[in-house]
Amino acid sequence: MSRNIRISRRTVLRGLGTALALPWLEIMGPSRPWAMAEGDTQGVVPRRMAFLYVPNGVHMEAWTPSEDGAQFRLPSTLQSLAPFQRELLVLSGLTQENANAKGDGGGDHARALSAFLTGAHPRKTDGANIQVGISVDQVAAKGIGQSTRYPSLELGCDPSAQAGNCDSGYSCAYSSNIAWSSESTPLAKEVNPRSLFDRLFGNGDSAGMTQSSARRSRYRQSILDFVNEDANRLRDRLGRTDARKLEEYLTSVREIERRLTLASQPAPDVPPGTERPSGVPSDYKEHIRLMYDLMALAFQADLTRVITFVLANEGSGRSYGFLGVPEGHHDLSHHGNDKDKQAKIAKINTFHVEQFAYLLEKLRGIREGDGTVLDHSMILYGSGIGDGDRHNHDDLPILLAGGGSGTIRTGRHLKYASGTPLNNLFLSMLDRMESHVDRLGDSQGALPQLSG
Amino acid sequence: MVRRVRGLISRLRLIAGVAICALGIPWFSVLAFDDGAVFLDEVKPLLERYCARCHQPDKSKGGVNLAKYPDLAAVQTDLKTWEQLIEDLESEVMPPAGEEAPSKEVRQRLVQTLQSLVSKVDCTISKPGRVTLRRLNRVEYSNTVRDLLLVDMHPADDFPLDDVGYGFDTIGDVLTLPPLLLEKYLTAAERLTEKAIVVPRSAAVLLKQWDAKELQGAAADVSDAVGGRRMGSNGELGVTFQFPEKGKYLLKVRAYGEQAGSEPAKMAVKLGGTLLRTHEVKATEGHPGEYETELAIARPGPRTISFSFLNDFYRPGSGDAQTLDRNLVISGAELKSSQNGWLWPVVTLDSSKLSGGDVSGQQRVLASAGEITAIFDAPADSKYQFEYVAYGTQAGEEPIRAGLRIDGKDVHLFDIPASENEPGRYSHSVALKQGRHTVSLAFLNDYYAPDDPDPKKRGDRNLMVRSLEVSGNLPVGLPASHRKLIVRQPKKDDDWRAAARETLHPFLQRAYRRAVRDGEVERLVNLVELVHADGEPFERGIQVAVEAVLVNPQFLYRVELDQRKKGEELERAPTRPLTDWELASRLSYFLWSTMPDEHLMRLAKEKRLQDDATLEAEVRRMLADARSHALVENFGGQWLQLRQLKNTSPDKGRFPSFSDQLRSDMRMETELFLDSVVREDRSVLDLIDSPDVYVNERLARHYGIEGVQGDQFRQVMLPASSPRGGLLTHGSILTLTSNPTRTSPVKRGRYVLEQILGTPPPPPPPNVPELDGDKKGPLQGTLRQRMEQHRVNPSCASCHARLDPLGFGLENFDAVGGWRTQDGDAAVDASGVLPGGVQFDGVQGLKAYLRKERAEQFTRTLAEKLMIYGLGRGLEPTDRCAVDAIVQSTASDSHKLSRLIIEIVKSDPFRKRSREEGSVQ
Repeated sequence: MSRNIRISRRTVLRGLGTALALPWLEIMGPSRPWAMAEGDTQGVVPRRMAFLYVPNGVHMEAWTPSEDGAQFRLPSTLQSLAPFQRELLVLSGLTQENANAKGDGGGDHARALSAFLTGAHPRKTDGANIQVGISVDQVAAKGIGQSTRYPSLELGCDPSAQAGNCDSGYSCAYSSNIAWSSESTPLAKEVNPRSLFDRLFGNGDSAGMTQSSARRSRYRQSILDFVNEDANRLRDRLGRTDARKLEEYLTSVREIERRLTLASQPAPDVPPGTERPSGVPSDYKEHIRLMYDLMALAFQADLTRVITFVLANEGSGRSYGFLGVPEGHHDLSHHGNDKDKQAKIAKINTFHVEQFAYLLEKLRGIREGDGTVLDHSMILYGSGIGDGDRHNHDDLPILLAGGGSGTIRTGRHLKYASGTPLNNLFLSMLDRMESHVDRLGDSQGALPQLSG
Repeated sequence: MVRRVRGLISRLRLIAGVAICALGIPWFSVLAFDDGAVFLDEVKPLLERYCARCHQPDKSKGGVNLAKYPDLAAVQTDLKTWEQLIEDLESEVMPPAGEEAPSKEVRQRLVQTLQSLVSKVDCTISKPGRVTLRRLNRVEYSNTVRDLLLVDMHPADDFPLDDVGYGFDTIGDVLTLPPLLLEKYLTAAERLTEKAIVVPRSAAVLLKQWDAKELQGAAADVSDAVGGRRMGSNGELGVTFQFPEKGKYLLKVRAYGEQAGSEPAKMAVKLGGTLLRTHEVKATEGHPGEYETELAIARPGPRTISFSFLNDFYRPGSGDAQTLDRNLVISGAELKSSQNGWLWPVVTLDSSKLSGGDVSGQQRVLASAGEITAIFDAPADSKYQFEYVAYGTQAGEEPIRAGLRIDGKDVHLFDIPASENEPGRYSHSVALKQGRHTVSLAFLNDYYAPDDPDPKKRGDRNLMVRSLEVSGNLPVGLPASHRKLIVRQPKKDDDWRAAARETLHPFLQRAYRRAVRDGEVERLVNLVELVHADGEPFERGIQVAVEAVLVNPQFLYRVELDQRKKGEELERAPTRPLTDWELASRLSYFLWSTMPDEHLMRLAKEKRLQDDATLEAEVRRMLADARSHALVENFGGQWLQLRQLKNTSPDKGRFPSFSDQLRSDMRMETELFLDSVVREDRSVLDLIDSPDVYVNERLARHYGIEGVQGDQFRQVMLPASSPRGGLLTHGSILTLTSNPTRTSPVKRGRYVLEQILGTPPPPPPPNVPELDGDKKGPLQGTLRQRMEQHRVNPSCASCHARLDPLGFGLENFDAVGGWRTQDGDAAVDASGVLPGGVQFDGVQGLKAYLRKERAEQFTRTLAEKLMIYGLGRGLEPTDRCAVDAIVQSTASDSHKLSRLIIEIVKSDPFRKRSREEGSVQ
């Protein structure tokens, strides 16, 4: 039996066309249980959230609409979002206060990313006792993640920095990771579309295919029991800090065990027309789009409801030669009010926003229940730095797309008093994910006006 | 001045250290108490007056916030900052121009007092520091599984990149283990064991498979269920099979129960109406079980095999939730000939290793009569099974017919009815002598009638062969990994546990890098037993046990225990020497980025590693070994930031000669140079300046060195006049410290300060005007002139006075490391004046200055970086005693790298461990 499965599965994966883009979305309907209960959309259609991050701030003059409310015009950087203006909120004035130095000196980039979803002030250390706070996505993952194969996905385009000092005295963990499952545990990003694809759909690899998968998963279970027991014994013989370190391992074991018990639901079929990506594309735009394709698929197949995606690590020096901007992004962001440099930064910003529009297009193309995946999602896009030259963490550039299943009145530019914690928005988003918490980081309460 | 000040600090440090260490002065704590008071009474008020305005919580210029140092203890946790502070005070960089400054006398007294306070560390108390439980990083994991399993795979290529702390990816505190990574560890363990251990398959031949739809029978109340057919009440489903010969057969039924009531569903298996066996079907939906029954057939011929549901149970309740209903669901069945023994894979030949016919994609095609041939070298006299994966384009009235020929003799005839969407497997067994044989599959019934008017007869019959898999009855020709792991096979069934024990004991010692503890092997053997119970071969059981080890925290982490077992007496001493095993691991991961080899393990086992002479000899052996290239690649790659080189993107328009090839040549040059310093045990000062370079033709041309031809790298001795030689002249480093379009003296200066001199500057404050303009109007002139104007700004001057000159010294190298004398229209000015007035001209002047005047500081920086890398933690003030001693010994042994590493390995931080109370109740 397994032989036939192996061959046909491989044939599917191998035989698919060569185009890199994953073009199936428009033709596919939702592929998981709620389809069976079309009528009962209220309770069955999942709600989702995603957080997309761009580094080094943006050129705010070309970002912030000059009008408030529903009658706003999209500034030049946001032009590509015109088709989504009615499904979008532009939020001005929000602040991530805890990204400020507060006596810790330099390191705004490291703080910007690590505070962005946590609203907590990262401890300045190059390694020992790293600490910031749990991030909003992980609160949601703990709240509603148990119902999907992956409570959350942590994605990006840059791997963690590999050498050197990322930002004056801060471990690279701070400027590379946006998601924190506890105050001391950053979650590494998956950056390889191929690996992500394999996680979502299995890779058709021969590992274990030679025996029945039921038996294989039973052995996995036994192995996990075995190592769990070993880890518990070991913990008792470790010092305090080491024992805490080992706790990370135990948490991961529990999570994998949970997934194993969920695995009675087979991995979803690879959507027709989908090719397994061959790796990380050398073209940045293609890389982003491939990741967006896979994110849309993960939502569509209800493999997860919570995603974070970092377009480039904070302080990124990526060069955008293909936009006619060969200078490094970070160097450029210290523009000193030079108009040319600002124009180039706006070019980079525009490029990133165009890719955002691509994702929104994908999500809006998937129908489910009484609307589209976009209708049932909250997709936040932004940066933890306002202006790259000032390194300010107030008046951050923030967009929120998607209707949150009708809980958000989109199509407006909302201006909040300067200093309003960004975490107030997160609190409101968590409420809409049935993951209510009273406080997160420096939040002071729900953010008003979202519902209209 | 800078030099003098630093010299003074280190001299003071040395004097204090030597004095205290030598005399073991017992009143040190009293002295420390007085020092605290001196700091509070004499130093703090002055700092508050002259410095605090800019260096307070709200402002913290240069990242310095004096409020963080309420007392001397706080100062001593951050000596780097305070050494810098002293240096800036003494060289009058601080307070900056325009701010109130202390008088000369006050300044001098403040500097002296601070120096005496800051440089004092009590070396009599050994504080080896706390190393956090360290996960193997990607490189270490890959190397370790390679050496442990003798399998060359790179599973970690697919792992998320490890985070970096203190500039290195070996830091326990930041090496996390999120679920994503554990998932990858599990998958990697499966793939690795699959490759390392060969698992034979049952010699039984699969005769027939039935899926649920093919089950027939008169049972009432049959319906479709998830993955099968449901019997809703007692009844029977069955199949009929034509048994080809008498003998034993094995029937396997996949089934599960929709369970309810007090017992599991029961299924009876009958042959021709006779009950053979009753199974309790405990499996549930989603996890069907496999239920085996042996059949004995006396005569060939058709028989009915049936499956009966015996114990239906139904109790209606109000609504579905309360209703109890037990049903049996059958998912499918298969029948095998029941032959004993195992078949071992010998070789798999894909289409590229076969000959004959035409190649089309992954298969060979015979469009007309012909043969697909393979050469098979039988490793021993034995029976071999030949299995083809084949199919055809079917045409005409009969299926494809093919003959198996061995050494020219027809031995078997196959009918091949399979088609492309489901290729078939066709096998036959033959006894062969050891030696070379020709095995071929002949296409016997070609058919070609493309124009036949009868559509049934129209067509073209072709044979396609994808592969030939050969298996044998004996485990021969197994890979080294298998032979190393599986010490012996069980002889008979009750020998399983013993054989598993003998196999797993030595493996466990190598995998956990320590002596095996009581009961550990037994628990693993239990896992093997579990697999055995499923009727799997021994090797499969070992695979599962090895998988369990590969995802075990004792393999994935480098464990150093702080506690004895519960019940055993707790040791109270605050520090302890590492065990020999722990020391062996620290050594091998430091120098080789992998597990200890057999030699190290033997020394550890015999408890001989603690001996100084042995330790020294081991380090020398390890550095001379090729595996020390790991130190170059991983330590060097991070210390010198070579790993970042691939992320640089020099502007193609400005530097047309730059290519990816040149980029990798550059990295190769630096690695070869580091290799030579390691293997030839050169002076570490050669890193600053040396008379040789390693180049190939391309790189030599880039450097303007003549007479080098070909892609091969070689050592070239340079004439004295050459500016090249030493790390700072390497294209790799010059490129990664440049902007895409131009050089950056600031980045280069910062690189020298951080990586070479170990005194990183603080980050620039926000809102700094860029070089190209500020509020007073745009800056003018060359890059260098613009930078000098920039430095007029006092808030920039303090750092840039240190940064810029070092970078200017390298200005003769362009942004990709090529030599230049012109920058645009202007001549390059590569002279520099350091704070304190030291002058130099060009790269040779800079190198001479660094090598002569900064030798100690460079050695110290290298020592510190190596320690961070090797220990897996940042350095603490208490490490200073060790660092001082290491630097001193290195200097007295001609700055040899081996001496530096030997002294690190012999130091307390490396050989001892600070104990930490744990959570044991």
